[in-house]
Amino acid sequence: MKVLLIEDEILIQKSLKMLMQKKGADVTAVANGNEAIALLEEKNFDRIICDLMLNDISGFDVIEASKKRYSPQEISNKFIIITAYSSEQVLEKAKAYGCKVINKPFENINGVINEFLEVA
Amino acid sequence: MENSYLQHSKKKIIYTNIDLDLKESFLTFTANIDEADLIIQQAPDSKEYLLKLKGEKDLTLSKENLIHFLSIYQPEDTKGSASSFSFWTKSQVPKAIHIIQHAHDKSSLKDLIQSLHDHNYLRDFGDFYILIQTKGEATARQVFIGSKSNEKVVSAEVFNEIFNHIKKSKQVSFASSTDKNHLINIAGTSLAKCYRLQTHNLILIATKNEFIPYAEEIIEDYNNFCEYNKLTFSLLLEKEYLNYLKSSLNKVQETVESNDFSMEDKDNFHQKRIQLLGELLNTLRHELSNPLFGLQLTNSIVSEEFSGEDKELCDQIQLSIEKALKIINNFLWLYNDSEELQTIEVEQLLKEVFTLTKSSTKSIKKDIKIAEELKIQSSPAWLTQIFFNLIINSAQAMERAHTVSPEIRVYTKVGNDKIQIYFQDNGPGINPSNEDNLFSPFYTTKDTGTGLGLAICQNLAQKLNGIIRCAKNDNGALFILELPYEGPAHRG
Repeated sequence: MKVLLIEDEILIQKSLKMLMQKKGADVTAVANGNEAIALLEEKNFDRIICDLMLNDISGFDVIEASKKRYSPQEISNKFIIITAYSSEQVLEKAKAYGCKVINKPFENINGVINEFLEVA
Repeated sequence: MENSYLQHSKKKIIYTNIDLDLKESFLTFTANIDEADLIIQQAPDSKEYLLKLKGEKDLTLSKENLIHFLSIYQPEDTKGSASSFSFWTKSQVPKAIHIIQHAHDKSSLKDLIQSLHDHNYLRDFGDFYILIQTKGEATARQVFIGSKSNEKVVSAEVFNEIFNHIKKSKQVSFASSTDKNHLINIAGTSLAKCYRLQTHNLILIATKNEFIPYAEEIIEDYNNFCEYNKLTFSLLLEKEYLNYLKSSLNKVQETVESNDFSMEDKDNFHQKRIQLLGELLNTLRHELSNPLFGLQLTNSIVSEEFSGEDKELCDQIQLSIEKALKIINNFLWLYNDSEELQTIEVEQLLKEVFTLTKSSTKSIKKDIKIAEELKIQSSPAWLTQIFFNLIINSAQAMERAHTVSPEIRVYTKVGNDKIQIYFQDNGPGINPSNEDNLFSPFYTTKDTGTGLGLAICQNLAQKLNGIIRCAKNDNGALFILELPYEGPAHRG
């Protein structure tokens, strides 16, 4: 499974990448939104795991940009939002895209990794 | 002093015999004053420094400006990207120094660009549009600098669109028909650079509003002007932002100190402070929980590689991280939405407040006798404030009086429809002459007190349909917080 991981906290990024690779996924990790947008223009991914608070733009900006490539249904299936912020507004917005939201920190790390790699 | 020297990694050689105390590790050392393109020496009879360039006039700089200038050599990242170095040519040095000196007394980037414009320094480039976004905000400022200047607010979306357009094109010079011109209302060719700085995102656009393309040297000059002075721009933006924060804080301070203060204003102010504190704690929590989570994840991966004692260490790391996360979450809970009533376990809240006041109450014996699992419906934030204030008051009074074996006892009495929480200490107690004024605003016997603590607490207690009393007591001070209580039927 081709996974794109967008997360700017380095330890989280490296660990999640390792954990997914151990389960056989092909993971590309980037730390900022603009790089992710550029990658999404070039390649296809089966799963996109996206942090909301990135250094340069918001995770939602990345989702918006991916509309060039993916249909709303695909967006809803492929994107999983991970975030430490769990405000009403965030949940509402994610709902509008139809994406799953998982809060950091994860209580059940293994479970979440499996969710990441679940075939859409 | 031994002759020391600096060598630029792009083989621009600097010679100096001064220990400049620079931390930059990418600077290495070499010798030979004759090879040097740039020589730095102490100016005779003065605290300033001489910058000598071959074939140019000597320049004098203060130490601060010199360090600023040298730090422009810094690559953007430690891998030493070419951006800062490659634009450095001998002719740029005097220009950069000039701008640094020019910026010295300016309080904002807008002022600097305006000043440079007024001195005709920018005539090759034309008029300027500076777009400044404080990171994280939903709007940005667009400042026009020309013979007349003006400013307006634009949305973050527009800002980002322009920013990305400039970044993606990787050019400096833009034709008259380019997209971004519509967004800013430029007719004609323009020069543009964009930067992500420490605290701000910045777009610098210059235009003569002509349709003739800029000459190659001007384009290169503009590029150099922006790249080379980027640090100066960033520092000015930060300076302006800091001043803005300081003046906001001062305004708040002034409002507090003014005597024409009705209790409603004080209450409002207090409410805003709680809100601000809540927001700060919220932000802090998110900022902290990310790195902590990162540690947690990495630790769990690493722990797989170990066994025995080493694995135990990893387990300890895990426990510490969990503890840290718990502390953060607890503090946040204490300061969330004040108006809502929640079920509160009194003993637990009290313990949290003792933790919050640890630095003041460490050496004080605590005797807590609260019915276990005693729960009430109330506001965690306000109760925390009241507990906090009463405890701190005790602690400070006992410290001032050098009470031997200081002790704070907290116990509860539950009635049919009310609950009383007693705060007793063995300190100097309340002076009878102060009794009447105890809860009055601005009344204080402390040198550094505002006199608002008990007044606000009384106000909060009243908001919770309760009251704080001060009772006569021979052993010290006794305060009783009385609150409505639903009774055992509502427990749990």
